[in-house]
Amino acid sequence: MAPQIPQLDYEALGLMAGVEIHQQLATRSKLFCRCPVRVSHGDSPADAELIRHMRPTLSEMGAYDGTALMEFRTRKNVHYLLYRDNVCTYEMDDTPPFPLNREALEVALEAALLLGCEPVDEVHVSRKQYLDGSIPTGFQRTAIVGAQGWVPVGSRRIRIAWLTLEEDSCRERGDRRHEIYFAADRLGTPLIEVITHPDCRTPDEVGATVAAIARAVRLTGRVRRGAGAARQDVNVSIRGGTRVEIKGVPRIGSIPRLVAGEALRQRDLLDLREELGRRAMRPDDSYSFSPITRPGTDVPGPLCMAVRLPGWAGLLLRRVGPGRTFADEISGRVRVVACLDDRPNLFHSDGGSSAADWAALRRTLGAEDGDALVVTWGDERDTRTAAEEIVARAREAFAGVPSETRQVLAALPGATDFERILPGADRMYPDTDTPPTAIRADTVETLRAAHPTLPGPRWERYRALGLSAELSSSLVRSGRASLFDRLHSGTRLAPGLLASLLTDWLTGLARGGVETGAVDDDRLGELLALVASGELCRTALEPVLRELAADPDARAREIVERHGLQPMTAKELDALCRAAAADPEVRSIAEPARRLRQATGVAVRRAAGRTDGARLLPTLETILIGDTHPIANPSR
Amino acid sequence: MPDGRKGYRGVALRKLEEWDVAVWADVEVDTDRGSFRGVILPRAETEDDLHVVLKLQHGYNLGVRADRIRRMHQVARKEAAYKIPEKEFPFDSGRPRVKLLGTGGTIASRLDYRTGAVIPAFTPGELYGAVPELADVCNLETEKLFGIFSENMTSKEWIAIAKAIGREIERGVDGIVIGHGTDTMHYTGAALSYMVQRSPVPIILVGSQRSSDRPSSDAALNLRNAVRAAAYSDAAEVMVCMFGTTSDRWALLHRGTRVRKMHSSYRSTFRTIGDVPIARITPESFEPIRTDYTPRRRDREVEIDAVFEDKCTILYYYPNMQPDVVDALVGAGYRGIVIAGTGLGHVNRALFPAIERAIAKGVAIYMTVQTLWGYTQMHVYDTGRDLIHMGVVGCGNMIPETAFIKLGWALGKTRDLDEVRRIMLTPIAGDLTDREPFDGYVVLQGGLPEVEAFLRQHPL
Repeated sequence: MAPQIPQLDYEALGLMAGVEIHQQLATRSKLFCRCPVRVSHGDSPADAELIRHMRPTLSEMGAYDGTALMEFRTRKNVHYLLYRDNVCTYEMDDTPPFPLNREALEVALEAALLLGCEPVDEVHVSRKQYLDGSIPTGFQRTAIVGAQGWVPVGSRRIRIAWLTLEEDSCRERGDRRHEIYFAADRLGTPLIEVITHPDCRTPDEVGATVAAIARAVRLTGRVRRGAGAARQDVNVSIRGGTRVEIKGVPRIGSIPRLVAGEALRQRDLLDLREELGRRAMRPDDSYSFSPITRPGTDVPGPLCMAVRLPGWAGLLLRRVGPGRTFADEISGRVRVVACLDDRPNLFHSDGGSSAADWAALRRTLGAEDGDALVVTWGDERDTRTAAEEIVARAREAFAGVPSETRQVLAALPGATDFERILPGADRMYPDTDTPPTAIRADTVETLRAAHPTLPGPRWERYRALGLSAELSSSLVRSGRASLFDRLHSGTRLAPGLLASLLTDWLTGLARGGVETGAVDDDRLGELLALVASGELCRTALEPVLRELAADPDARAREIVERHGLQPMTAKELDALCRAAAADPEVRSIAEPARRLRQATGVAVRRAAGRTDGARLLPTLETILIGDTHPIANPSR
Repeated sequence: MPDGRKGYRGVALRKLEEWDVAVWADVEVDTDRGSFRGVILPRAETEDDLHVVLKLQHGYNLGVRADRIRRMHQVARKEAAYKIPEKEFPFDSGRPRVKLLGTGGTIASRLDYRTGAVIPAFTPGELYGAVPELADVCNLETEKLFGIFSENMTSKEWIAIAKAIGREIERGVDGIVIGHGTDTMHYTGAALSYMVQRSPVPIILVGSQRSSDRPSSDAALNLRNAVRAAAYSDAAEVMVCMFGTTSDRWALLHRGTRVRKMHSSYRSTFRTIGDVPIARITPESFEPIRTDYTPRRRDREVEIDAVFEDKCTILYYYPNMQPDVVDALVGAGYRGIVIAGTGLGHVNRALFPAIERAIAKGVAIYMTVQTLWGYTQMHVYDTGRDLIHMGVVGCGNMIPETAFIKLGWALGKTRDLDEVRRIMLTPIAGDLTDREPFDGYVVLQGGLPEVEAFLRQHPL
């Protein structure tokens, strides 16, 4: 069941969010080797296997990265699964990179332009460390291709910091204790990553931003589709909190809830910090842990360790994010860093075993009633690591929100769990295996020419036509923008009307179940041109569109003719109005204004879209007023 | 400014001068396409003179075309302090003494901003900072002999290493490790096998195929295995200690005269040719593969015979080779030629007159096989018999690189060609063996179902 996320005032919370969108490119070969880019091998057995370990190394600026050290503590055996058809010695990290795939660079440049980014003058490949094992080299080769773009989202501009071209990592096939398995088939697939500034202010805006960027990137026509071809990370912080990255969000639809969940988590952590202050607790209080004999419960594993958290009694079950507690925060860290991944991996004195057991343990450890106790167990080295992590996580509560990456908990919508410490710039250094690549001005111009209507300039043009910011955004992202441009210059339809027909009207129908996507720009254009030339009333648009959607071969004019939907002639209109005025129900109403309204309603119904109310009104008025006030109509 | 504007030339250099900024300046840059904030990095001299390289705040680098730059404003200065945390190596009187001699290569390295390449680096404390596990194995002492890429090794370096080894053995170390670039490690392995005779302790050459600035580097594990071998191995020979598989699984100890680098980039690139290695080193154990090695001794006696004749070469034979190649070598004063011949040890007849002229001038000519595996057998065909008749001497199953080193060493010792011949044909340190075991040539052929089945069951 989905946990409740209270409605929060995001402006007051100071919510800031940005996204990182990863999109695989549909190139023939991988980014740095000549292996074909192809579908994954799923769960099928590998043709060969490789075992490696990762050690932290030094960045260009000479410091160890925090994440790197954390990953090193986990001491994982990393198994790589190799497949004959699309893994070579490059992916095995046994052959240096081949020259950067020019086809991929071109698609990345095109995507950069579509997002209003300026291409960089010279592409430099960097190494971004990943010690989780997901890349056999221990780093991802990545390069900035464009910078400083933006996408329109609602009435706002969301700025794009940069777009990078990089190699995709391995697919994780399993992670159990100290053994982690990665399939190398996906490794090296060209990927673009689009990184926005933290410009989003509401959870919904984050979802809309991802959708807008995904659509823009798809315009290249050279991106991979299907499961896993696009993944997004979401960065969230609130005022007083810290940037936290939610990794690998699979569905765009789940983003708003995750952002709301993270905002709540950060607020809960800040509230917890306040509570620690109220209790006059300090991070340098005496935290301790020691091995214990097994308590009453039957605990597996050779070592059992009790951790004393001074003053923490009653705090471990406080809510931290939707459906989660502070104990879950601790448990997540123990799972990842100490590799104790059988749940539960800890017991604590705020819940679980009987009070009597805890009282005995308190005496053994010299803990007071106000202290919380956490017990963890397992392999000796892991359990020691776990105890250290429990203390570390409790101490971080004094700082508020730790900077970390979090993974989506599929079973608990909106909730996340610890993945790793958020890496910093200390994990980047130049790739000494690849020379810089200058981007030629003529390459950029050729690509620009292929897309005369990039989203940013287009949006500005629509604003200049007098469309609202919101309508302009909807139009740009609607996929009907080129149709708008064509009809705007070729017909007399008012831009506002045309834009809202192409956006709100179509969206409304789609929501009502009409397959509007089945009506291509050509057929839709014909339909709207009929309205523009007065050959069809706006009121008859819907039945025609429904038929167009249902029958891919149907054309608007032929439907209009078949059903006789042409606008009424003056004679037909006059007859319609007279019949409406003669309707017994209309005649039964004495009050003139109500009578007119009733008659209009009857006429519109009987017109079946062939005329609109505005056109009926003058005739109906003449007839009805003549009817009630004979003096006013001397002819009778 | 110490680093100045290194690597920058032309347009880019003028732009830096115009705004009075230099390498490591943290700058705001306004261009006609937007603004950037980042640190100016040195530029590789081999790259063009049109771009300024910036490291942005999030760590990415990019090149900005100098002619687009409108303004540069220095905010701060951030010089890279690339340094492995340095700690003093702990001493434990119960542990063996191991001496690590540094010669360069990527066993320890850092980035060079001038060329953007990895350059060798070597200090003892750095090594301990990077590979603290070494302290569990031994008491390590280190000395940097020189820092060069292994392709730049010359006889001068081989001699210097040999002499340093002699010195350290006399000082009483229990084992010696030599950090070395992998490209020519097998040449040095052969050279030390001849120049250091009767060593009482193991002498281990080690390097890495992935530089130590990379998380996936094999450097730390190789170094650890090498140090363990030096400290505890019972084989007092010159050996190469490198990955036996590309996985982080185990290392092999190869004899210095029979080992060869067989892949330009694979981790398990070193193979014993025409024989089996001496031992396997797993994380937990030493597994001897053969028992006929020279055992460790407690005495401190060693013969250092560090000489080399530089006018010695390998001639890699190919069909259609013209005889003037041989004449040219003789004309240039070469005194020894090791031919890597085809098949059982052949060259074409067109070369015969030139070879006869060379031998008449006192050039020592020895034959090896470019197949690497197998023996010279010059009595089987006429060509071989004719070559023997001219005075070309077959080297049996000595691998060409080893024969080249041995010939240079022998010619360094004596001008007497009979003595040279005696030295060449006397087996030393396993360079020439009487018999090739049935498993001395096991190069599994990929694609065969039974081999694929094996690969599925055993990590590469």
